[in-house]
Amino acid sequence: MGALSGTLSYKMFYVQGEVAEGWQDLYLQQIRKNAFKPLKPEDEEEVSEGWVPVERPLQISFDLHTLLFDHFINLGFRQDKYAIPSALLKAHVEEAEREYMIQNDKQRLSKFEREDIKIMVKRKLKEKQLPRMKVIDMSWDLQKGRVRFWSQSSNVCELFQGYFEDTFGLKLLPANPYINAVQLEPGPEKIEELAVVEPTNFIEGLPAR
Amino acid sequence: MDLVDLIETRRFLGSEFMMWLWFKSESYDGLMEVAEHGDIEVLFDDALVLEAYLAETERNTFKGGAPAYSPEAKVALQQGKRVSRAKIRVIKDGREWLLTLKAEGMDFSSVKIPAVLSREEDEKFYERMYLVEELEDIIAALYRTFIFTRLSPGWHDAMVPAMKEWIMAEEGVPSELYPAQAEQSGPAVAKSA
Repeated sequence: MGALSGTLSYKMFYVQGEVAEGWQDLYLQQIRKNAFKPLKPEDEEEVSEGWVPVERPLQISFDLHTLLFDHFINLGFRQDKYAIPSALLKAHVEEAEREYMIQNDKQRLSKFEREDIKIMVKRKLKEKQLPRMKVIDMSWDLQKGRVRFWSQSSNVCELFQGYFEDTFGLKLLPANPYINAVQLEPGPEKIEELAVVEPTNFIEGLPAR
Repeated sequence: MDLVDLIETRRFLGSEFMMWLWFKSESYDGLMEVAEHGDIEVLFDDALVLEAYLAETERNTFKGGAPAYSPEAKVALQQGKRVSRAKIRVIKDGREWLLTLKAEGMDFSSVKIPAVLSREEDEKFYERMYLVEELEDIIAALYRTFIFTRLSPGWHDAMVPAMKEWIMAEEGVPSELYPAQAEQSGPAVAKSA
């Protein structure tokens, strides 16, 4: 886990709202419900994501001991994705279409036949490969209401944010200059001023924007 | 304006904060008093990126040495470029943190914390989190001072003219240039951010 060794690169989120009463049982239940589900080649989905215990990405069973570190909830956010290169898929689909036309003595294929062939080829290719696995850890400080997520990719952070909010029923606000200023609790007057403040022009003759 | 718009349109505060911090650090050779943390050293280290505000593709990347003190970085500032990320060294009570601070999202990356003493996995985790939190609190306290100063009349009356002088100065700046009287830290002590 990024929090356990080495340098740290993370995105900070602020948790909005209060931790629910009886949260231990409730969150454990919710984490289990939103645990990672492995992909199967026959599934239509090509991506799957969900929670795993930290440092044990192949496990999908949880108890309080695996996720609660004093006042921190630590979890891994695992995402698996089948990544079939488009050129490879295209070549296999074209080959399969040719074979199908010969076997069935056809000159042309309907849209539905093409779709069926594509699904079948995709499944065969998925059977030959393992999905790509990515696990990113998160650490939720329940006392401070801060979540640290070990990725700064905006796509991954957005996905994580939605998944966290669905699991725990609490909103997350990502760190940024405006949110950080509001988190300092400067008072309603200053918050209003923040909403209208304009960029400073440090260089004469250059526009501020 | 909704929250998403506010987040998008106020991003400039991140780079203004880093420019203010750079100015203050250079004025006082890195030494500054930070609310609730006492005397701290905040130094711009060996990596600095400046970007044009409108054309983000116009970027100057400086690596190695002390770019914050280089004439090239000053020229970029004089052309209207603003800090988009910087490697910063924070020293408190003999302990040292190193981080890359990104202006747009106020994100911390490549954070090196002081050496931890604990051996046990759990204890090591708590100690590391404690040290990261201490760094976050120091940056938040500095940001609080910046925000209150930024929203006060002293920003335009004293801080901006002094920063303009600093940007145009060819040599280093004397500490007297920093308008300490314009600095505001707000009515209450920072909670945390």
